[in-house]
Amino acid sequence: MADYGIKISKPGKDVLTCGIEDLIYYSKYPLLKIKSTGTGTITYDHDDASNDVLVATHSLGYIPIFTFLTQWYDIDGDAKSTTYRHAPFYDSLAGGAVVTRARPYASTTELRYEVGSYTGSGITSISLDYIYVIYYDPDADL
Amino acid sequence: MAEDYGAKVSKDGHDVTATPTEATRKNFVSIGSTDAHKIIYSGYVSATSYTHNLGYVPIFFAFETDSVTTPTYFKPMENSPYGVRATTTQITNLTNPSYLILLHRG
Repeated sequence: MADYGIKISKPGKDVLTCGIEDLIYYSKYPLLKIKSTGTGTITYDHDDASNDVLVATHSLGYIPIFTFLTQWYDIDGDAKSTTYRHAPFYDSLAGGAVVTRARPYASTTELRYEVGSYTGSGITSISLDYIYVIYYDPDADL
Repeated sequence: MAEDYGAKVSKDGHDVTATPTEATRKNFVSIGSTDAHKIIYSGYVSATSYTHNLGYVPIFFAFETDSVTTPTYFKPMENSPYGVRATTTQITNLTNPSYLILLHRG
């Protein structure tokens, strides 16, 4: 193994001998490097077909990894929740007749958000806030 | 903006003196001028909620476990209508006990 690089240990830990869990930084392991963070709102028609919106563009030329948190439509309570969950998720009730789904996805140029919900309640417009982080690190090159 | 400040560490096989571009930042282990997550909290929680009072919704990872002293498993917490979620002040619907990691967004 190459014997070069940088290690920084936690207070009280010997940087030369401690395990990786006691290192604050170890240059052998890449950090997730943040390209951009942001927030947005998607407004869509409940009880309608899938909705797909642009969240952010990027010019990386490869598919980046990302983190996505979103408000969601609570199909059990038939109301919007203002709390945030990690997406993607797919909730269903009544054998799949009542559903809500949230599915962000990335391409070589964009981060997009596909969302939909159906309860049959007749509610029309729903607005959900979301939070995203796009990383410089591609999913296949860590 | 010229990046003539900070520390850089490149991955094996990549020139650390090269100026990072949008397409080549992935070739670095770390770049002083590029943001990375900072861990706000990492530890066990012996309750079904954790109050952070950050004023914003943090990135979080939550794991179900069976002990805060001698855990035998970490299981990613259920992502369902009844599972873990975040607000600007709390992480709620945690299993008890759990292991929680909160990250500053950047």
